[in-house]
Amino acid sequence: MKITYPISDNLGNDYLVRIEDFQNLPDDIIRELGNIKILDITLERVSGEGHTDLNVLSKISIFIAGVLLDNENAILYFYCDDVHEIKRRNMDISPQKYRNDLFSAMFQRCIKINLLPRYSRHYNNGACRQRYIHASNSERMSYGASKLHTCNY
Amino acid sequence: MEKKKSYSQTFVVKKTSATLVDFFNKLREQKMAKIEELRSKKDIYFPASSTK
Repeated sequence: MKITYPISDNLGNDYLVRIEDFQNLPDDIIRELGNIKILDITLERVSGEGHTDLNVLSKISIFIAGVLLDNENAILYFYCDDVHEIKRRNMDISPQKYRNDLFSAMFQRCIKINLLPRYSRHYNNGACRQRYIHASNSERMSYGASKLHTCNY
Repeated sequence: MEKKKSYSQTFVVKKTSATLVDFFNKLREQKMAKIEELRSKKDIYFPASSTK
């Protein structure tokens, strides 16, 4: 699976959301997951510099929620990166923390409006730099999600 | 009407192994490559937005 979803606002900001099968998973995790697939989400602004419109965030949330609903045996994976800066009011928090909070809020909104009867988990690795990873899945996939965070690393 | 369940859980890894740090570094590199790929895409049509 590889889906690319373009989103624009009327202020010249363009965004791409890509959802694709996760590549290069360690063999032991693949074995543990069985037929559960991990879908890797990448979200990036490709033009424009303004603040991201709430309607755009809503469209992104609905698109991602739709993919999860269509793929009952999937766990969505999102790595909150620090690769590029992101506009934020509070510059004391890191870009990855901001992305983590934003992604959490978007996902919780989907749950709140009953778009998703789901649960979301995110991991935080405090070594070297703060890392945030979301693994979002249906209740049916909770066994697979638990496998993900009990692998011996 | 069926009652829908939702949960949100946070797991904090306090003591990390070298293997985990290495794995996270690989995840970061993978993310960087994907972001650069999206940024360099020129063949995507962006439909006009109706958002106000």
